[in-house]
Amino acid sequence: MTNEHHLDPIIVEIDPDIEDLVPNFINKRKHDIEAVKEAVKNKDSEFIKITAHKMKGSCGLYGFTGLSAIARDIENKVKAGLLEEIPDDLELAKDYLARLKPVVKE
Amino acid sequence: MDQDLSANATFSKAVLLVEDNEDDILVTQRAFNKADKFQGRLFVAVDGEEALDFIHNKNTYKNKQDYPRPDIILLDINLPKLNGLEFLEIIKSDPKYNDIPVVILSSSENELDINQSYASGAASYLAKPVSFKKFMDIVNTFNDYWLLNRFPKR
Repeated sequence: MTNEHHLDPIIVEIDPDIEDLVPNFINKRKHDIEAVKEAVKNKDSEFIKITAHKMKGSCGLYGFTGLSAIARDIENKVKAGLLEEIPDDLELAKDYLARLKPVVKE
Repeated sequence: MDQDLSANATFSKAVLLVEDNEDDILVTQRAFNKADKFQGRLFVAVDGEEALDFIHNKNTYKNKQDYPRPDIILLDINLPKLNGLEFLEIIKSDPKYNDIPVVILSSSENELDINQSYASGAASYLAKPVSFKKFMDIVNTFNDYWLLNRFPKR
């Protein structure tokens, strides 16, 4: 994967009614990803399960379906006891947020 | 007749949202504020214990005028302290409150949660959708549907 491809934007249309909520929402997801990374190190499955479940629901409501799908994978993996596979999902989530370009719907 | 079923009718009841996720609370408040037919009040409790306090007018919710008995409860399942299903079972086994319709709003796709919600007395189970527009559609449908319902006299 080239760096150029890596930085291809992920364009997500945002409803104008929630535009003002989005920047804070995205920042909080960045914190979630770091917190889950720590929780994987500490084998804190309960925290991972709760955080991934919330991310899955909220990201859907705000229209970030790609991140919602990653959170669903994390939730399924922690329920299956596959903690060692979660860091790969966290990298995908970080990549998603790095490339995310929210665009307000006209 | 306490329901106006004309085209201009609005749903003006007290709705209690029981939800711990701040982002979901913000977006739900936004959706109800924007909904054409909602003229009621949306209250928020952030866990099952707080929701019980609200209903029982205890602790911070002592004032019955400020915190009226909800006409409908919109309930998440995954909640701290007392989860949504435990809360549902408590109020559905209490004759003073078991006539309040409870609508589950959850991102859980677990069949057990769905089955247990209905078995415990939920009126409906709504899945959190995947865009604000779809959420607005759900909130508008919710208001239209409950506008058609008759509620017990208080």
